[in-house]
Amino acid sequence: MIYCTGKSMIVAALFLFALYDNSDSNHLRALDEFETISEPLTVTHRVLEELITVLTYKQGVDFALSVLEQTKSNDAFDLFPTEMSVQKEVLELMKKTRKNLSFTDYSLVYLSIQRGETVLTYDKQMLGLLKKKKIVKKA
Amino acid sequence: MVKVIGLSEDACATLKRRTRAGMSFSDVIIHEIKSKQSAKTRNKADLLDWVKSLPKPKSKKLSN
Repeated sequence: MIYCTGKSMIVAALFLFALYDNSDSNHLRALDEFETISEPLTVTHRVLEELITVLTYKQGVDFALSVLEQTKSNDAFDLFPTEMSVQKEVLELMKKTRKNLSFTDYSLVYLSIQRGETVLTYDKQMLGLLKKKKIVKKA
Repeated sequence: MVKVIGLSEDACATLKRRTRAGMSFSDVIIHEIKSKQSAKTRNKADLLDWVKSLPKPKSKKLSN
């Protein structure tokens, strides 16, 4: 279990894949965490784009559009616009830390540092980086 | 109570564009947030029900 250090939790695409895709190995874990976490979940537009793209290829456009509608209309999620102006800072973080993460994941790490909030993800590299930045702590 | 906040040029321009006659910046912000919240028609339980109602993945057929 990951504890939140701020008022909201930032959600990575991997968590949302696991939540919506019942063939995912982390599906039950994601359902359980979604049910028990009381903080609002921040979903950036970049994460939503990644989710919809992958779901379209994996499960078809109809399912991907349903997921988009479910996510946008649910009060558990706060949609957060992707700011183009922080791209430079995200790239700097990428160059500095040199982990094999997607640009989207780096943008979440950057956001978590800025807001002092943790990221809900199952990516070990990302969790390692967040731990290094003291954004997450494991029980 | 009135609070003084700093805004970027872009944010200020956006607020000006959305301001109608007789509205203050505070009115615009409250109006925008309320309209977004009203678009949220589902809650956690709805999402869990929806996900649980999705068809289960078909188990792979073992080859002979």
